[in-house]
Amino acid sequence: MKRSMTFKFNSETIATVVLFIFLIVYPFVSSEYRALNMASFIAQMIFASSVLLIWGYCGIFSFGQTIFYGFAGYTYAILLKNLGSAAYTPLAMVAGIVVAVIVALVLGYFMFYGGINDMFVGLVTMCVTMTLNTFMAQTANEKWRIGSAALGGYNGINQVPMLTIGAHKLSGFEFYAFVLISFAAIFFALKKISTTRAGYTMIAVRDNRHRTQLLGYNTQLIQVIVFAAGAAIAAFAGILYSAWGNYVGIKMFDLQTATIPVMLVAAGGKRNPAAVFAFSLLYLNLSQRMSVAGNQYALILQGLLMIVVMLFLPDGIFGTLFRFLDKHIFDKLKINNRNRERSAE
Amino acid sequence: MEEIVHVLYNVLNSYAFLMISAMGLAIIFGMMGIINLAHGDFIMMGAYITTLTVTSGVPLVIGIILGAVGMGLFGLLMDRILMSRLYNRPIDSIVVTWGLSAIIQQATLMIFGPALPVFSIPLGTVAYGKYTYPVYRLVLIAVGIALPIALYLIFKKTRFGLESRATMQRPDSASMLGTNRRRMYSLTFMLGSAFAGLAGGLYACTMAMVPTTGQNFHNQSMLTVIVGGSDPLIGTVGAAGVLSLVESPLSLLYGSFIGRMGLLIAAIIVLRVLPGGVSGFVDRARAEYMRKKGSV
Repeated sequence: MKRSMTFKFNSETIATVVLFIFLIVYPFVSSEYRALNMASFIAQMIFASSVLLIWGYCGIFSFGQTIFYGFAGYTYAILLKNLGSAAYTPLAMVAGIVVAVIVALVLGYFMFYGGINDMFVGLVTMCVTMTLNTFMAQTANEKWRIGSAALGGYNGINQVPMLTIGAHKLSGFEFYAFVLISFAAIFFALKKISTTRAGYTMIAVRDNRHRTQLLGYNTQLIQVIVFAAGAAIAAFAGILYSAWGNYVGIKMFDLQTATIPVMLVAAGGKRNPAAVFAFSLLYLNLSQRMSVAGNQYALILQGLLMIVVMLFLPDGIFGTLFRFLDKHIFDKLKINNRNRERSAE
Repeated sequence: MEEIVHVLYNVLNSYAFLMISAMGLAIIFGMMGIINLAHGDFIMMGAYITTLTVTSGVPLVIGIILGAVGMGLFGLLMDRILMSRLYNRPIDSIVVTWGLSAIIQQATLMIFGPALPVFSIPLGTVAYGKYTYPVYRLVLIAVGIALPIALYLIFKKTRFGLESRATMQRPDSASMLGTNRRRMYSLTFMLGSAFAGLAGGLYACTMAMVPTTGQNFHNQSMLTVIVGGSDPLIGTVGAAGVLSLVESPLSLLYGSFIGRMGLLIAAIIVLRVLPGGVSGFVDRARAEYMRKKGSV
């Protein structure tokens, strides 16, 4: 049974349209530097969509998407350092994603087939992140190298090449276009998935894992696959980050980095992609302004946000807002009720 | 012989660290099924309280007790404001306590600055063969052994312990028999926080007093509780034992980072092989034994 995506005229649709208009117009009205900056925000939004996929759609609460973010980024950097030429960036990108997916499959196997679920997935992935962070921090010694790339400890790996196609290095605007198109693809794939059989299966696992299992589905396998898919998205985000900044460092394995996508999804609204991304844009912008201003309250704001949202706004800030608007305004409109009236005749 | 003592010391040292730092978390987890991600920062706060009082002239023992009591009170406050809304919501409690952790670390940095002056580890050292051992660490090992014994006595011999066990096993039935479940949860959170403060106070002189020092305890205590399972006593003792047996030989041979990675890998393997952790394993073993005994 395949349903088509019906576009309701509600706050989510409006938000999606506004969001994309903004993102498409932005590079035309700003400098290359600011476009690159916005591109990094979009990369963070892609990172958040990996959490959105596995948590919002499948109910897997993972604090460790940054594992794949970091693994992919480092693989990209190390491979390019060893191959020596920036022309290999597409290959390095694919390699980075593949490595991350393999790690996810192994970790997922141990977790989901071992019966680790719900909050324990979050805890185990968090512990893996912290251990990787600790491990990478002590790789400053020259002996820690893969081929000709030294891992560098706290210094990280510098001069990581930007994405290059053939001999042409992507300019700021071209990179922006690439990131935006990828983001759009992921966004619409997420929306489309909820109408496919695969999507229904994921949602069934999210809503009641035991019932789904009793109905004959191999929930562990489903969880491992979804987890690996989320890892691929996070890996992609990690590669975008390292290409953007020309740098990978242990901050990619930081708990801070791990928390941000979780917080964006939780505070944006984990059932609602448009809400998450609208919130992310706002938050990332605000957060950057705060740290530029030397404001120490940024972390306190983050913490308070998580507490307040979890206690009072479980659907997220924008999610709750959207639901409110839908209930009082949009659901009552004639356009949306057209189908209902027709079938009542 | 002296090598054996050296290895034994290291294993027991590691065991005591895991035991003391994980106990508070285990009690809260066993009773309410929630994980306090700010546990490491509670330990840090206890260490800060102890350091500040001791460097102002208060004797160490009083300083440690103040750390424990102070954190108990803080835990009570947190319970009233935050945690009481989060019973039976494990994932939400993770996110909330994570936010709390971020706030505590940043606030500590803003109020107390990047580091506090520390006091040195007391009681000197004792030598055996070619190794010297700090006496304070031996005291900590003794505490790590005394703690589960004390907890056992509390659970078995006191009214509070009885009600705790009842609430852990059958909350509804316990509530029907007159135990105030909310009060149990609040008291448990308070006790868990007090244990965190105690851990902080005990280890204050061995750590740098920076706002992020809680991270040193965070990973290990989290893993110990996860591997331990839902029983705060058997689980924590068993998990601390198993994990310390893995961690300290690796640390001795290859350094503390490899030790910590070994701990993580061991934890993941144990979880794969024993879902439900050590407690689950003990429960199943006991059920098997009862079954066999009953059929004779």
